[in-house]
Amino acid sequence: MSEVVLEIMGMSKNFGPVVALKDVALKICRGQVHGLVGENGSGKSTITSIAAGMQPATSGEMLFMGKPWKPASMIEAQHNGLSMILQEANTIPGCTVAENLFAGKENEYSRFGFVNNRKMNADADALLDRFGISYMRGKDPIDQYGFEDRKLIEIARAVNEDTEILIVDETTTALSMEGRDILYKIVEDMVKRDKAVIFISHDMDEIMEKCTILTVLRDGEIRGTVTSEEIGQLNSIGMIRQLMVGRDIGNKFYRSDYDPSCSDEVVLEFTNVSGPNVKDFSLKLHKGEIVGIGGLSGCGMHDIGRMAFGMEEIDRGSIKCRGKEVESAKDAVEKGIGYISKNRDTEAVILQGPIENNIVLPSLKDISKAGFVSPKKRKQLADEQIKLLKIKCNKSRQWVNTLSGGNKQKVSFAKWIAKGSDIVIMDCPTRGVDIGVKQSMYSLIDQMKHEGKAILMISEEMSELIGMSDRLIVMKDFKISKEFIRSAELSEADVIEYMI
Amino acid sequence: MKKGLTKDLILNHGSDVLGYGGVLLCVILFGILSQGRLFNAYNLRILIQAACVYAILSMGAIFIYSMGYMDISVGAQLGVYSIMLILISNKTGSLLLAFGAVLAISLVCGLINGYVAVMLGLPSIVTSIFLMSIFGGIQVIAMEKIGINSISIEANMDLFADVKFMIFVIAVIAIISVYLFRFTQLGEYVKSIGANETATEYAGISTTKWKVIAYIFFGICVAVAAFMLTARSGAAGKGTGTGYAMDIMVALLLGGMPLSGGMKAKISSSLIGAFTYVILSNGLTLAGVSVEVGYVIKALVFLAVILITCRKKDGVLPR
Amino acid sequence: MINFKKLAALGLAVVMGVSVLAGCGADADSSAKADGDAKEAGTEKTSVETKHHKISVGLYTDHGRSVEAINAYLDGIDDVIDVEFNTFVLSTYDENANLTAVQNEISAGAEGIIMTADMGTEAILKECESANVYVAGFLNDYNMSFYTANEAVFGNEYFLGSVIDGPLDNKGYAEAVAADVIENGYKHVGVATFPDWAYPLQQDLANAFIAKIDEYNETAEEKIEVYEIAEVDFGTGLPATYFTDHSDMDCLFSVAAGASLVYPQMVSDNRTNIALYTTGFEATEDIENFRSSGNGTFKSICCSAPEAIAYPVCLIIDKLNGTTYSDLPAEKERVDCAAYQIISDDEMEQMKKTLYYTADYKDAAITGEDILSMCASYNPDATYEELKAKLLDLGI
Repeated sequence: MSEVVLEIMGMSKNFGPVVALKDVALKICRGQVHGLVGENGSGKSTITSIAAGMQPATSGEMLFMGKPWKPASMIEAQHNGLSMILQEANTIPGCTVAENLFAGKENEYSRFGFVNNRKMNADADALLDRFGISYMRGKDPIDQYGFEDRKLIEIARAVNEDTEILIVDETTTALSMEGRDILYKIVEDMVKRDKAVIFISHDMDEIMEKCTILTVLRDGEIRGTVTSEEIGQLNSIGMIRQLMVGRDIGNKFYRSDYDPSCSDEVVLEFTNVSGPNVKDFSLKLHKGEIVGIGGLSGCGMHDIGRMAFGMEEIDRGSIKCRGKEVESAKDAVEKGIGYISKNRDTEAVILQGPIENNIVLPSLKDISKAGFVSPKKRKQLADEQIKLLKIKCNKSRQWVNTLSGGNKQKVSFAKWIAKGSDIVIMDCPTRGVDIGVKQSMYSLIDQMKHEGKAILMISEEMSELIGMSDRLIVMKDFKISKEFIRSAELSEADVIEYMI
Repeated sequence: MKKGLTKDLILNHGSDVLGYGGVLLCVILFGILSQGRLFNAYNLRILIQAACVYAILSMGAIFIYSMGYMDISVGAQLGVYSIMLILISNKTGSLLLAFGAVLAISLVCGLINGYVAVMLGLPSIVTSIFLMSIFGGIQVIAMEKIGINSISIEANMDLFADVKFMIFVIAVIAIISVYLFRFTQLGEYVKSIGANETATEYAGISTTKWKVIAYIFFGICVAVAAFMLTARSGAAGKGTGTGYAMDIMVALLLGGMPLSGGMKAKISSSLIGAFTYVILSNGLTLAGVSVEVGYVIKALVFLAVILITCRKKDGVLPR
Repeated sequence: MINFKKLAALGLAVVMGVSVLAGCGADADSSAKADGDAKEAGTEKTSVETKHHKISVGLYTDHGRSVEAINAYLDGIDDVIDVEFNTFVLSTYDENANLTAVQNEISAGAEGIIMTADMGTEAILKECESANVYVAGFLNDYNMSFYTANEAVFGNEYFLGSVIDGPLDNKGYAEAVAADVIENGYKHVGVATFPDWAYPLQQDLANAFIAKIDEYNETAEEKIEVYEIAEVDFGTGLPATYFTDHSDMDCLFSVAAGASLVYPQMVSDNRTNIALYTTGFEATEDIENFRSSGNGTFKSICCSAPEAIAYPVCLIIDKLNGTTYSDLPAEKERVDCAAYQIISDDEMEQMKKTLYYTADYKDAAITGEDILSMCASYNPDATYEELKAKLLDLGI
């Protein structure tokens, strides 16, 4: 075993009566990519956020490079060689890329109180080049970049020569394939230089591939450790899942049937649709059908969903719902279309608001009588959904930002189930969701299909597309490159071939 | 169990409790310092009279502030409406006609504030600056044309200046506001827009339409407020209304309303805020505090409330 | 944790607020005590039985030399005349704010109100009538800016009259300025006034000045050129192009607060070589640059004595005591007072000894004892005409 760089001893964390961590002991060694796995709320992020100085532990001690470690802030931690890339967006809007990269270090670039922008921009460009993200430049305003690119900037900001430990907290879910590769390269580089990485992800494949050691957490306690030898073994995923969930979740993860049949009734029809990121896209979605769309992140599949929901202009062609054009989001909702955005926290749910308000938002018009919305009816509607989807909460007035990622996603589903939408467009429906919730989502989607709802599932996860779709459309360079019909024989390799 | 309940109360209703706390603090503090004069029949009457216009305006403004927007044209609108009320009623002898005209204009302004901003893709503060300038200009020009500092209304407004009528109007507006805010789509949507406009749009709600409706309701409140303002002083001039936009913002903040809007918005903020604002000035006078020290105390109270109502995670100041 | 911080912040603010208030409370107590002591001393000295009253004075601004002088004066006389004065700030534009401010004063126990701004007067009088509180004006010309409601104001039984800022007919000042201009040989003269609708009387001043110059021009060989009258805006001051349009201007008569509204533009246009004759007095640049001092730009100033507040004070005291002058006219009056017309260095030296400049009660031209002897309540021989005459004595 190599040198221990961070040692956590007897760490506990309470939030009021809620115990988030219970007496956790953990050693992070040099040259390792140490994976932390567990369901949402199992305490992974709590450990790392304490180590990175975002919050103090209730009790316990830490040793970082042999010395007692109790950082007061993320800045202090980063200064001493412990950097963390957050799950949430953490760039400063309204500033340039360079200003974001060197936030807190302006002093190094300023003289007599004036910041030398040219030097800062040049250094920023050099830094970006080093990370292989040369398409971004220091002088550009940060707001012109999307969420994924901003995440890369955060990575570039967090990592430098002095970084001893890098914590990657579910960062990959936000990244495209290309972005992931950049991050993996950084991780490998850290290992090569005998530094340490703590890696948190919900993507089991990624975990199995990248991590050299795994610690499984459940309910704030360590349930097991998987060494590198064990990771290589065949049944390891199943074993880890069982450790995480605490029960055998069996084989029934995706749909068990291989019957692609559905009604003949076309509910949503794309005819030669073209837009900035879509070329000549045609598709007929039937009642009771799950159509999956897969591809690389920039292939245009996300645009398809937004177009069908009236949130993105189309240049040519038409999108018709039961024979009528979709004009706006309002119009789409009235025609029975629901849309679950992949940007959950910004587009799909109102974080700063109660679960109830979120769930009833699209349905208010339906339950209002002559302008009057009965509080009783609202609560009833929300409670029904909370019960149906098993949203873990104390009461319907609880705020969504207090929920775990999986439960937030359930709220986002509940909106459209409550509304009774019979066409649901899902963009990355299980992004950032743990296995337990994922499983229940899949059975929910299956159930929706059997209720006769049409589902358009856009996803970056190959396995769920193959596991759930009646028809799988693969997109490449803004166009449809292949269409598969549901079958037991379909493998990821078959699909990937048409993506790249 | 009881402890848990208190904790829950503070955690989930922190801003409500503190909003009431602010007004309670003022009442108790000044009640003692003024040796009980705060609760004189006369003092209670003048408190209501002074708070009436603020209360009406801020109840309308809640709908705007809930969306995270603000309107700084209120003051100038108020001024012009008051002058118009006086001019039209003096000319035609009909108070009703005058009020009708003012109401009509206020509705158009609501439309401009809500719709033009969206149509031109401008932040609504821009249209409200635009309206403020236009109305400010109209007010000055009108008064210079008339050639005096202040004009008086000829009609007898005693009925409307009566404190009973004021309570009646406050109550009516309060009932309507609470109803709209809690039991209709309008209230729900303005809060949703303030909490997350994008997500609201993604829920299939026409945010433009509801913004306009919110501004129109606010416009009605401004027209009513202008009527009450004129009834109280019986006169209007070049500077009538100046400062009201800021007064309302301060009152709402004192009432515990976050400026970023969202789900924490409550109609009670406006009533609490309006009365806290008025009691603060009144109480300082009753306690015999000198003008200079009065400024300091007002600043301290304001600072305390801001610190209390600022949101937990989203930084120090509400946007 | 965060909630604790917030509670701590609230606690801190409360503690600060309470301690500040407690401090004032203590002050008020001690001054009340001092009041008592002084009262005993006062009664001994003047051997007049005074009655305690509470009068609130609404000032149109909360700062400036005149406010300091008025405050110093009120502090000086309150012990002697047994009146507790409380000053408050009036708005010059918001009728409702003024009404609220007056209501607050009434609620705090004021028996009389002295107003220096007239916005909302009608509503305020209505309120005072119902609360049995008397109102009188100071520096306040209800006749001009309020002519639509003149009758309503002067006809109200709770309104006692007003003393205006300086003489009703101040043409003497304009003529004195004209004489000085002629004597000093200025040939290119500008004139500036506030808008006609705001202060019609000032237009008379400007006209009197121009008439005097015209009279000179009839006989003079080298005539004086008078430019068109510039209108001074309350907010922005003189029109920006007035100096550039008249590049050979060597003299300016500003019938509008020159030190604050005209002088800054002279500085920014680098035209401080122009001789500035003005009304108003700020005791800032105007005194630093008066004639032989500084750059000498200011040639004259004109203002009135703060002691003129004695007029409304006397009227209110008598009314509250239920006594009247034998010669008090039935009609409420708008009386004037003499002005400080300062057109020479000598006169400025005199000005520097007045209460207006020093803000020191010992320089007051009308003392507390004088007020007692001018009140019918405390001196049966006092007459209204004497009171008016005293106001006309205040000038330089």
